[in-house]
Amino acid sequence: MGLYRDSAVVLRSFRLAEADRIVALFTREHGLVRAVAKGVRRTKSRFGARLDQFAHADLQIWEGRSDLQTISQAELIAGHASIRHDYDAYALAQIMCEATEQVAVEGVTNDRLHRMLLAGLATLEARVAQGRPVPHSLRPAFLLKLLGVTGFAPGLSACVSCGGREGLRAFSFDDGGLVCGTCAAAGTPRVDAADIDVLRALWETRFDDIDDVPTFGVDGLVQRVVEYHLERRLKTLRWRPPSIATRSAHATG
Amino acid sequence: MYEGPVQDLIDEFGRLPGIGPKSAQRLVFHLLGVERVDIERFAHALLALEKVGFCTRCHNVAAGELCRICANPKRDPSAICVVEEARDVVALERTHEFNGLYHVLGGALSPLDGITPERLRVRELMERVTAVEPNGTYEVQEVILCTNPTVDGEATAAYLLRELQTLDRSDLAVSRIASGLPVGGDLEYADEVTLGRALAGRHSL
Ligand SMILES: [Zn+2]
Repeated sequence: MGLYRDSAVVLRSFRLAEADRIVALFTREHGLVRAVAKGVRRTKSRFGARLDQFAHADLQIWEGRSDLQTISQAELIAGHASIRHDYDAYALAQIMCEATEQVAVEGVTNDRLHRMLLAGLATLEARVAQGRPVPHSLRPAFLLKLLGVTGFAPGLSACVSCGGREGLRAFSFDDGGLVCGTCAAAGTPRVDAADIDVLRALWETRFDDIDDVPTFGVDGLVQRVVEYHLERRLKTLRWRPPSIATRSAHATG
Repeated sequence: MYEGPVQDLIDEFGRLPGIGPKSAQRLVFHLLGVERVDIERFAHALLALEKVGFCTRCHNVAAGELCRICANPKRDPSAICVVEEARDVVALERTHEFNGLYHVLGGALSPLDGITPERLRVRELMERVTAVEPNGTYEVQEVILCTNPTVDGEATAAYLLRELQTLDRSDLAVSRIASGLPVGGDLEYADEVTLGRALAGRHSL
C-alpha cells in the first residue's frame, strides 16, 4: 500500500461513472495494473490526453485498501498520438495492446515484453508520422516475438523433435516449432520452404527494419500458434474491416 | 419494498443511467407530492417518446420521417457533418456555425468492443455522398468529419477519409474538425498531445 512511481503503456480504458475511467496499464515494474483515472473525461482534466490508449507515461499511482488503484499524476513520455490517424496502424496497435494485456500478469515484471510493446508502438508512430505505409508483415512479426518474450520462442532452426535440419515441412503447436517430415504427426499444419524463410526473417528482424514481404502463407499459422498458447482468441485479430466503399463499388459494378 | 405502483416507478427510475435506488426513491416521493396536472404533463412527455424515431436520411432523432434539420429547406444539403451520436448534433447546432446537414454514425470504431464499420452507418454515408441529382450532378460537395478527438474517434475519421477517397469523387472536399486548446484555457495546463495538435493545426495571420 502507498504511493509508487512506474512507467506504463495505456493498453485500454473504459468509462467509470460520469467522468472517470478505469485504465488498463502495462507497467515496467509492476506488470499489469488496473487503475482509476478520476475526472479524466472532463475537458479540464489535469490528465488530458496523457492517459489515452497507446500512450507511454510516467505515473504516480496510489495503492489504497480497495481493489482498484488510483492514478494521481501522469507525465507523458511518448504519446504515440499519430497512430490513431492511420487506420492500419491503429488496428495493429490494438492487436499489440490486447495481446499484451492477455499475456501480462498483475504484479509481475516482464521487461522484455515491455520493451517489445514500446518498440512496436514506436515503429507504428514513426511510420505514420513520416507518412510511410505500415507494412503488413509487422503483424505476424509482433505475434512471433510475443511468443518469444512469454517463454514460447518458436523453434525455427531445426526440427524441434529430432534436431534434424533437413526436410522441415510442418509446424507443431505442441512442440512449439518446425518439425521434419518424419517427425510430423498426422494433421500437423504444413509449411513450405518459402514460409520457413518468412518465419525466420520475421523472427530475426527488428520492427524498424521490417519490409513489406508477403506473409500470407504464415499469417494464419502465426495467429493460431499464438492463440494456442494463450488458450483464448484475440478479438482484435478477427477485426479486419473490409473496405465498405470498395465492396459496394464491386457489388454495383 | 413499497406498495405496488410506488415500487414499480422506483424500479423504472432505477433502470435509468446514473440513477441509483436512493435517487429513484427520492424522485418518486417527490412526484407523489406534485399536482395532478404536472404528473399528466410528465406522463404525456414520456408517452410522446413512442412516436420518436430516427431520420431516414441522417439518422438523427426525428418525430417524423425526416428530422427537423433535414426537413428544413433553408439548410444547405451540399455539406454533411459526420458525428458519432445524435447528442453531438445538438452540441454543434448550439454553435450556429453550420448550416448544412448531418450524418449520425451511431458510435465510433472500437475493435475490443467489436464495433466494426458494418455496425456503424458508414454504407449509408457513402450512399449519400455518391447519390446523383436528376441533372447528373452530385448534391453533396463537402464532408466534415466531426467524430470525437479521442483515439477511437480519430481512427474512425481516418477510416472514413480512406473510404471517401476510394469513391470516384475527386471533387469532394473532405475536412476534419480542428482540435486544440479549449478557449479560455491556459497553455501551461494543456497536455502535450493537445498542445502538439494545436501547434500543428496553427493558421497564418
Ligand atoms: Zn435528418
